[in-house]
Amino acid sequence: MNIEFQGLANLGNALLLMLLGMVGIFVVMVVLLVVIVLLNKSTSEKKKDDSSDDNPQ
Amino acid sequence: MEILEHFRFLYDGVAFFFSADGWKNLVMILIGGLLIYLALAKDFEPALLMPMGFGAILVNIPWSGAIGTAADGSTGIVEWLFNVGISASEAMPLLLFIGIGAMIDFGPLLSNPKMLLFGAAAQFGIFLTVLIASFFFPFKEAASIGIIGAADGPTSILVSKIFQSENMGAIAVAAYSYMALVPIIQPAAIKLVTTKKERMIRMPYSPKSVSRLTRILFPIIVTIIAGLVAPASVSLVGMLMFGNLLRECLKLDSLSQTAQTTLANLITILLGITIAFTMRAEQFLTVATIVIMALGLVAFVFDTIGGVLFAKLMNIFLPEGKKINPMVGGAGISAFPMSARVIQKMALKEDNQNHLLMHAVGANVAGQIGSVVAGGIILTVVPRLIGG
Repeated sequence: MNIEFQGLANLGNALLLMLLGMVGIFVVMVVLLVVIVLLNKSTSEKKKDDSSDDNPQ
Repeated sequence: MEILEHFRFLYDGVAFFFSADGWKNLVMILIGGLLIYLALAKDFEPALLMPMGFGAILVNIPWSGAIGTAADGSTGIVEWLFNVGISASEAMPLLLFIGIGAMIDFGPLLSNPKMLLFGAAAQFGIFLTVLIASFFFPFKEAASIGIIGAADGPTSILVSKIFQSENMGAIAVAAYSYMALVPIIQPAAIKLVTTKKERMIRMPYSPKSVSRLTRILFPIIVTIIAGLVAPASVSLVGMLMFGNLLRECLKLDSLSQTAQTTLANLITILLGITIAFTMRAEQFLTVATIVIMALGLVAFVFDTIGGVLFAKLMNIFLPEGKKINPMVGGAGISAFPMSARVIQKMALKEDNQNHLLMHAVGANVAGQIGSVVAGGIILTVVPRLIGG
């Protein structure tokens, strides 16, 4: 395929993709961040309650 | 004289190079040689650029038996590998992800999860590149080109294949070439948007212990969350996280080792030479290829700038002593572990006691997740935008 000047035909879609894409990635990452913080907290709390080895590594 | 005609096969191939479009094949063979030179002499992603370079030679020899259909109806090996390994199911890039997942230690990220945000911010170059490319290419093609900014070869190959890009060869070459050039591109981009004082910000590293349960649940949760937001990312994220689960479960060590070594090596040997199928002269030697190479550079530069600027934005809200060295944000691209090493080297150059490696590794593995999620979102959203 060779280049064909598209003018502004795709501009709206490209801007919308940028918005949806960046928001989408941040949403996924923030949700993961919250999940990791909760997981880290819950597993370290278990350690306090139970003296048995919670981290086999 | 008739006997001489029988010997024509001896010079037919050479004569082809002097036919109307024959010079293009010759140029592609030289490009193949250049890729091999860059891979072996300059250490540019040798595991992929060397097979790609050799593959480019294979498919551009006139009437090459490596492509096309033989008299008995069989298909040339490079074309067959492409049809089966990439065209039919995108199997090769996806299987490679199992090996990559098994190689990644998400520990530094799990112990400092806010680094995930840089893995998101440093995908900005993808979308900016799609925007610029959309002036020159149809929207789907522009999206395929933008994904070069994922700094992740298998994701670039997969997205361009699903979008049936005619420029897959150029996209793969750009993705792998610029990954090899990260040590040159990133320092220049980072210096463009940071001051020396910012580059000297120290970040003490005090890792928290991460439980085995967290390490095991993480790949499963990432797959589910990313899959729910962008179903098209399930194959990408799923294979990456499956490989990581093999590593982290500690019950399947031999499988994990096989994924990291044998599987990854086998696929790597074949992936480069298979992608070379898209480097045939008539397909590769176009103005579009030059434009794509330029856009790939834009993508890498603005990925880095996106990550750095996001770190600077976070610093506005962080108290003194908790500030983030903005260079760490630049490590949020997927080129692992080169990007983290580049940041560590830059930090030590500014202040020989400033060790940012583990922070940068956290951001860098977050970039691995960010890039596959970005690929999945593009695969999910672009068809809807075009259809709508």
